[in-house]
Amino acid sequence: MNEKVSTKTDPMISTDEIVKTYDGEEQIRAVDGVSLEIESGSVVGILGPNGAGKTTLIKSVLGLIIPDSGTVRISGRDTADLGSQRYEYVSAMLEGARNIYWRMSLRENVRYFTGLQGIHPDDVREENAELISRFGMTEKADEPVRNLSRGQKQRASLACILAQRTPVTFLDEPTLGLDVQASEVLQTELRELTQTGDRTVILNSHNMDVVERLCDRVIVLKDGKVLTDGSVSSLIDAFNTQTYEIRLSEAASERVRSEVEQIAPVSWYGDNKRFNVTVESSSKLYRLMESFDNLGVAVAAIETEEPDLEDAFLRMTDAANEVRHTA
Amino acid sequence: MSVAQYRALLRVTVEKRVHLFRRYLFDSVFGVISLFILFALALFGGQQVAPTVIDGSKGGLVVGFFVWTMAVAAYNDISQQIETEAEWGTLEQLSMSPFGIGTVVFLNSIVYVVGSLISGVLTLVLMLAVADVPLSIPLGVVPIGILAVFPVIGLGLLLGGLTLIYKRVQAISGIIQLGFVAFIAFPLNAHPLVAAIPLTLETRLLEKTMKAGSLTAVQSEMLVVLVVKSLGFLVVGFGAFYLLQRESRRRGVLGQY
Repeated sequence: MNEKVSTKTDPMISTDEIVKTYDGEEQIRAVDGVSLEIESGSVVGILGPNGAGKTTLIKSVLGLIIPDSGTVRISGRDTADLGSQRYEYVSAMLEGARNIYWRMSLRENVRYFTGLQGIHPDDVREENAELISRFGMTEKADEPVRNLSRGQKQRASLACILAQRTPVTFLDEPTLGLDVQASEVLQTELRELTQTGDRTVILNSHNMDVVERLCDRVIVLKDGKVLTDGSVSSLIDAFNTQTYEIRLSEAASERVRSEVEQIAPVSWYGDNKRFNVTVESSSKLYRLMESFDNLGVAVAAIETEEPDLEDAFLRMTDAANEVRHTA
Repeated sequence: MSVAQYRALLRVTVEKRVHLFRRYLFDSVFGVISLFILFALALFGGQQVAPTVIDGSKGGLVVGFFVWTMAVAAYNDISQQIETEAEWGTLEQLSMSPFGIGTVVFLNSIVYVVGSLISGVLTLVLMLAVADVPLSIPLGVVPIGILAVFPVIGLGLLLGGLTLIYKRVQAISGIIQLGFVAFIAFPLNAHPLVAAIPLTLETRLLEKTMKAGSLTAVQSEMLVVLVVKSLGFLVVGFGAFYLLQRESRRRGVLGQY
């Protein structure tokens, strides 16, 4: 087998001008010239609205889709030269738990996926047992996977991917369809997995909490292009607006609502006493307070809401939409 | 990849086949029983309708039926295996093996076919006992039986490759399975090229070996033709599968079902 670690100079994964179009009634450019580099040991989230090209990009890197043009390099080597050898470096959990054999037990699945990498499962019996135990699945290891709960199936699937012992792991919607508790358990396990620093993880999820908690870098795709690429905190800071919930002492009249809406876009609750407003600077908030004073309306309470990655993401993709529509 | 790594892959592939056989035990066992019932119906039903015809060709019927069931089993094992793996969502995982999807699917196919050969030989023993025909099962049956299955594996891989792109190819699949009956019944001496058709030459050679009780009854040049043809079909089928799976990756439909 090849050495599975990248050199210090080469990024673990790099793509150069990847383009992929699909033919249909109209041609769709799913990935449109994406170039990026992912360092070894980093945890990167790939975000984007539906149809942004996330899955096509990930599958292009995995070799499950052949791009029309562009280059994918793993550990500095062109995947066109690597061929199937690329799978000594990368593995992927795609479509949640749908990528293991549900009629087989977790232990049998782990053995199979170990062997699929060319590793004799008897040589790593102890390590595999440890892996199963790490996911808290020892007692369920001999049950057919189909008898497990959804959360346990996801964990079983993740264990099978890790049994392949590749330095890079792609996770496509790892918490999809899980209830809050099962999602929390899986997120805790994922966090432990990513904190070791010796594994590169590329994560695609609609669950912003998962991305915010696990990733140190986020790439946002939109219409097949990279919209932004940076750390989670820089992304939140870039759109660091403050949202307030303001409660008035009485229901606002038509005139008051009209005055307020001229200062900033607001969303009223049904009782017309409360509204949410998002402002970029505190001066706008002062203007609002002034106008309430002038109109003789008393403010009963002001509460702030902390911005998170989801707010930043929504604002970013909305902003991109606005730019596209006005262009 | 080293020999040890291939051994690891073979080991887990066999294990997977055994596990799935056990988990689908009813279906697996009933498959063998239903084949035997089908044969009994053909034999005893035929004896009722045309006793002289059936009694005069019982040997051919047994061998022909055996070859047909083996061919259909092998063919279905391969093409359906690919469709089923896509449905389960495991096909993309098989594609992400350093051995390459071609090797993984081919090895899977061989393991499935060996399983079918074992159940096929069991059925053959039962058929011989019921039909009461002067045929034996010498060891020579094994190489011819294996070589007979190779062209079918080739066709299965071709159809499996088409499945990756078009997802449902049952219409063609049905025609091919029906075609196997015609191939088996084809007169070998009609034209020299008939020997190149899958299953025609194989059926005659199997019958000859079982009648004589030894492989020595078969002319060596016939064996050469059989080997070349069988390997030819296998290589072409494998090549077609490779190209078709590449095309499915180009179209971005590999894991779809």
